[in-house]
Amino acid sequence: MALKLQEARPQEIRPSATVPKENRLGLTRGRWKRFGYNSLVYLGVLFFMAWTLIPLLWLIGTAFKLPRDYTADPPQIIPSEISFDGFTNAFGNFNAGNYLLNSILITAGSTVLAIVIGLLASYSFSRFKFRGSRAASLGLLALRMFPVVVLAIPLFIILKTLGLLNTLVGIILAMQLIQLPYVVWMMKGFFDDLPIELEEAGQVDGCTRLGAFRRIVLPLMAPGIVATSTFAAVLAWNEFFLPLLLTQTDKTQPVPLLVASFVDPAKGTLWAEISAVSVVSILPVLAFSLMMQRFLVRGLTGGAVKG
Amino acid sequence: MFKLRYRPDGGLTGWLFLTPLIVVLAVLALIPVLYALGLSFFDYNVLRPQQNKFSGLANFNAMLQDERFRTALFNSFRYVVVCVPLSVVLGVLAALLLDHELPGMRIFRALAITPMMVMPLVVGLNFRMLFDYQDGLINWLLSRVLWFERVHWLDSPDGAFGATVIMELWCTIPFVMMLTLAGLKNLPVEVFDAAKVDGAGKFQMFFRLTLPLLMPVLTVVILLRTLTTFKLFDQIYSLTEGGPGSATETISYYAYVLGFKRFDMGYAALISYVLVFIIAVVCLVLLKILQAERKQA
Repeated sequence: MALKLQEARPQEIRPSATVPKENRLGLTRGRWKRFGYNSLVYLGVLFFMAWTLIPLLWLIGTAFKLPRDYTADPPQIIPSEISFDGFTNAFGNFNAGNYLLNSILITAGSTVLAIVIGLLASYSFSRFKFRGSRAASLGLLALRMFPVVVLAIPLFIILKTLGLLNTLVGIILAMQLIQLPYVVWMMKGFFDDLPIELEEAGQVDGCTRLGAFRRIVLPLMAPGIVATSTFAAVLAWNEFFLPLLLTQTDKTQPVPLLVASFVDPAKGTLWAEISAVSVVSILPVLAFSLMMQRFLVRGLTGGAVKG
Repeated sequence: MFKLRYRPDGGLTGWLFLTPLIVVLAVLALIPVLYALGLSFFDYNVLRPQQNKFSGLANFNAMLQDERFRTALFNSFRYVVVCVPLSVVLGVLAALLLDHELPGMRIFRALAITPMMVMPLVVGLNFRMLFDYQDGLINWLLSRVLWFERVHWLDSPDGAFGATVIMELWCTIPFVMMLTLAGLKNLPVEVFDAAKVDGAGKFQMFFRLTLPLLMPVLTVVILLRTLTTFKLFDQIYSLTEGGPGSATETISYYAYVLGFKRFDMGYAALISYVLVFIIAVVCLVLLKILQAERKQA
């Protein structure tokens, strides 16, 4: 398993966590100083946690609200009456399950595709020195600067020509635009960390280049691949604009479009339904990301940090 | 342009590994990129396709006259200039706090990154509730708990800008914090021990040691933050829809309005290209500054 590969880190005293020197005379003074310092740290953390968690708690609370509590005074983080209407309405009348399934299919399909393509490409960028390699990787970087809006117009026309509009295949292909630049960049960092001598040893022992890639490199890259997949999957899972443009029927629409359709100033926005669907769709992402946090960090900085 | 040469450790094999990437991106990226470039010289409107024609620099001239474009450009810059430094400073501060090995910190560190996982669209909608003038939690806190005035968050230009900045900070501080925290864990302990022996103070250590040693990570963080803040779209779409008026409209959002509400694709493509050009220049300049800084340190 990926997680077992983490090297154990000795619990050293961190540079920023000062442990005041306890000299023979000033022992109690040092203790008081440390106590005061730690209290200040906790106070800061408390503020930061309140800032981070109150909006989240608000979202979760709203999922269990009845419409009359939307405008309650004072505003309620924990609703006065816990109701599951938001969930039952979203899943019963609005088919949220169907949208979730679309989201899962789109995310899984596009992530697998991006990882396969990205794995080969980043291996090439990391291991081969050839003309045009630098130009190609710069082009990929430049792609990240393009707002999706500008690419969406021609993309729409291309997918329409290919007959892929309103299909899962079409949206999976379109997601590559968003995922690939990140996937290649992250995985190149992971490959760069892997000593090339391992593969050379494999080749000396009679592996072909591809054989060495499959038997030696891939198993060692497992944590990197999982981390990159997690990040790429979150990108696809949360993407709103591309599906908004490229899928017009609810047969292929993912969750974000359902959420957006609940906003209706004329008839009253369905806040409980919005929050209910959001809470359900955040859970898998949250679970994965917390597990993969170390590797995510390492990949995101392109190897500048060893997580 | 690129000569194919077979070399034992590169050339042809290298390109072979790249083939799937090139095929996919040629269809999905290169064609759209060139197509959009072409579009920007056309008067191209989906609603009246028979009148589409080459118009040379007409779009460019229109852009120079366009008051709304200038506002959007100003707004895009305003978001970068305000949000990026604030999120980096506050994110680093949060990381320094959470870096202490004290009871409970592991849980706080895990909780702190949760905002990153929420869909940007949902973040916007959630903050739309929180910033509501009458029923929002924030105005309630301001008026009933802190005895301030209620703020017209979403229906005044300044309020809407402030609201988007606060929302943007909420989403991005965790990102900065996560990467900085990882950077802090990698710092060589010996250097700090030596500094402590030499009697360096806390602030001195931070500015002379921690910060310079963190620069490689912070460079990546600042660049990524700048890149994504320039492209700000989803949250604007769901929180303010660019309003009131065009007070919070960014270039990305204006391009969306032009392309998909007015169907003026040519002009939308042109201003998107302007944005790409600006992002590229700003990122290059930033990179140069940050690298120079690192050499100095």
